[in-house]
Amino acid sequence: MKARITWKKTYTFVLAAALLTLTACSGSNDTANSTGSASPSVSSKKVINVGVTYSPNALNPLSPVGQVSSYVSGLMFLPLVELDEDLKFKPMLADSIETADNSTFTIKLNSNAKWTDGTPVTADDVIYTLKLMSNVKVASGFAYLFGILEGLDDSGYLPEGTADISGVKKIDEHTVEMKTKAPTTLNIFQDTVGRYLLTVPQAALKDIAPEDINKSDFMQKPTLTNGPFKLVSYDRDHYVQMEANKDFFKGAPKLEQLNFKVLQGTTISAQLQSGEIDMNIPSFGVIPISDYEKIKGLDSLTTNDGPPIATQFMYINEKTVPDAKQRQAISYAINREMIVDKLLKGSGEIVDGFLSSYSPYQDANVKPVGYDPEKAKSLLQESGWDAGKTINLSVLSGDSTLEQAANIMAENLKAVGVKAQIQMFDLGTLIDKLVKMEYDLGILTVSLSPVNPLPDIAYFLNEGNPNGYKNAEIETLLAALQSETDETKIKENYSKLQQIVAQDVPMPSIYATKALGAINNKVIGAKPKDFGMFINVSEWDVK
Amino acid sequence: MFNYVMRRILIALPVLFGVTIINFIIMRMAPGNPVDMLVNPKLPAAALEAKKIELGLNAPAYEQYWNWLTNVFQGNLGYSMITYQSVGKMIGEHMGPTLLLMGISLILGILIAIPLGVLSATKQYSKLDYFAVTGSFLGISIPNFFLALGLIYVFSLHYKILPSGGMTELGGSGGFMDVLVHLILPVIVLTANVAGRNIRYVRSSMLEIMGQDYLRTARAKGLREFLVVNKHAMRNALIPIVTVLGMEIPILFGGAVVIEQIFSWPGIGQMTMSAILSRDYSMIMGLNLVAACIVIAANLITDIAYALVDPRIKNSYQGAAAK
Repeated sequence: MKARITWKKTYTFVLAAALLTLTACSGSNDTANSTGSASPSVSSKKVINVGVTYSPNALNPLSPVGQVSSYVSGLMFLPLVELDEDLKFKPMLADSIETADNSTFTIKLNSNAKWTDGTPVTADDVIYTLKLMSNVKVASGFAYLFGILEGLDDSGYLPEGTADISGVKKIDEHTVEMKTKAPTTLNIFQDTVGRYLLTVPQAALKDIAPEDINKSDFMQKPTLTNGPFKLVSYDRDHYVQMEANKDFFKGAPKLEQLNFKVLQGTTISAQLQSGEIDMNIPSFGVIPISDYEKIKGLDSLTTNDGPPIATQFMYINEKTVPDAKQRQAISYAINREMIVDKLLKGSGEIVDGFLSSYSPYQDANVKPVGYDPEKAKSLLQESGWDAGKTINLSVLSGDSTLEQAANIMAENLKAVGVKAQIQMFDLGTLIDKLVKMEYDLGILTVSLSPVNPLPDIAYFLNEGNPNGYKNAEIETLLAALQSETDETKIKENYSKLQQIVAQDVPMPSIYATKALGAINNKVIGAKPKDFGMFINVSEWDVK
Repeated sequence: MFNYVMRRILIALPVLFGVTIINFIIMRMAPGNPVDMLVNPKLPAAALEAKKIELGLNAPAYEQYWNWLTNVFQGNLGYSMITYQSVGKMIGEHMGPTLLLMGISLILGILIAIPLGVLSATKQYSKLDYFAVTGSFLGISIPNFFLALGLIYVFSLHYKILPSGGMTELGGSGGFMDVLVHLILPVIVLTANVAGRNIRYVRSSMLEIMGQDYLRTARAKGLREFLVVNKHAMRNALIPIVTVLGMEIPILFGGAVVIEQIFSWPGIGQMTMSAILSRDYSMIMGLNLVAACIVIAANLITDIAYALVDPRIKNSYQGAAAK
């Protein structure tokens, strides 16, 4: 008996010793603070943690990868203007962007704007940034948005051997003038150049060759910024830690820190509940729909239903489904009411064409087709659909709501005589299959810019689209929209487009989710929203 | 012994080389590519091409592999195609947290498994034995993610006494206690798994030894039961366990991916997942190389440890070297 006790004691001792040694090592290896102070984990600083479900893949302001990266980069390098949830553009680095003739745009920078070293943000910085982004060696993912400017090719690149962009001119230290190739609405100019040109400091970057700029230390951890927050540390798949820029030219932020935590959907709800995160970004810190009720019921949180933005589009390969009647039949066959009411529990909207009710260009007279399996059957019969044929339905894996919706769709299609087999793919594979047209039906979530849906719609419908669809009338309409500046006519053209699309069904949408935003009641002045959430970030505070 | 180790290391080199080639080929055969993930597919063709050139993806595949390999020999694992951070630096930064989590779980797991396994073998069919065997079955059969979510529910949501994820409080002290409280839940999950698997191995290995003649001899010469079990029986019983433990390391690396994701642990598990999902070729190659090195090193260490605990093996090495 005595022996056993000694034996147990030895093990207990070894166990405790091992635990202590290892954790002690961790303190010195992995954290800055090696003193091992036993301070409480809840800090007394004014900190807000924002939960996101998508990684900020690259914070490089010249080429942010993904929307979360854009949010974070935009906190360090202000865009000229930013779109708010009311779809109005709010001044950021620029005080105003104006045009008299829809081809010459005057950008007036905020004359107080300054870098963190106190030097002013000037017109030269703006032009320098534009030149960097239009340099083919930098290969910015957003250069194509600047293809509307005179002096850049349609992909937004400066032709080789040219030093300056002919359509861009410095007027004075704080004023830049830009000319577009074709007449452009102020909305589109602001939605492209205004939102995606994140001005970087010429002084800090001028000695780095353009081909090295993406890999430079500056792009990993910018040392000279102009926005309300500065980067402290960043780990792509886990967090971004930011601290206030006390000298921010619009006034020092009331918060001391703003952090983004990359979490899975279920963890977002859990951490909202536990208070480990204070808020989410509705469409980019997605709360699973199954948790909506629980989150809405918590006293510590205030929630808001976002506008319908993220839309599930169905890609239809015209090689498999060549007849418009067959495509209409697919629309009629799917019980979208049930998906929205039961699966989304009402937090969504049935969308038929490309535009949800959030877009100012949606034609309310073009009603989504109702669920009508009988009509679907007769349309299929008329078109001579081969009921023995099995087609595949390619769906993004990992989104449980979409997976369930896909199951309902496959059942609906089967009920009218279209055998559809679901295939789940990760995003990389799915995009590859869609672009190469190696699919029959595919579903992908796309968020169209509500004020400027044209680039996406043109990609889906113009020649070379991933549906293999071709319609001369639509192509004429899209070309007209490209250079139309009269808002009434733009609306008319979008209406015509929606009418044709409702008949021809080249690419039906299924539903658009109204993503839930949740925020802890201790936060003052902030609201979770997909557009414009961080415009007033310097006023955010905690109780 | 030295010769044996050297020989093993030399054999490891072509194995590593083969692993990287196979990884490269499989990766390139998989649909999708980093350009699609980086930029919107609606970009003009010229823009997609510019990105390919910038990432070095326009060169023929064999040339890309050769470039990668020559860089590796110069100690450079390249740059991530998504974040443009140095692959070596990223792996270095994330390896620490993973090793910390795995190391503690492995050690705790063994410290629980060995005494429980030995006790339940010496007291076969006792209450303790049933308890250990049942616990072991639970440890193996409860899926990691399920246990993890259950623990989060109880300790983070219901009682709110432990954080549900991360390694430190962002904006907090980042000190010893901070890391410790974040470690508790993931360590419990992984330890339950490691201990569960190994209790059974230890128990059955011990049971086999307990019936051996030499133990009867030991008892017959009047040795105390404590020494019989802990000196004569256990040392022999642990020999096969060494092999099993060597296999734990790759298993833990796999299991860590799930656990790191659930607990947002900043280790290489989640980094591996997102590298694969975003087709970050250079990152995948780097991680694969490191993982292969770890597995090979773990095997080598197991074999050496085996020789150390079992003199028969050491003699056979020396015999082979003498020939």
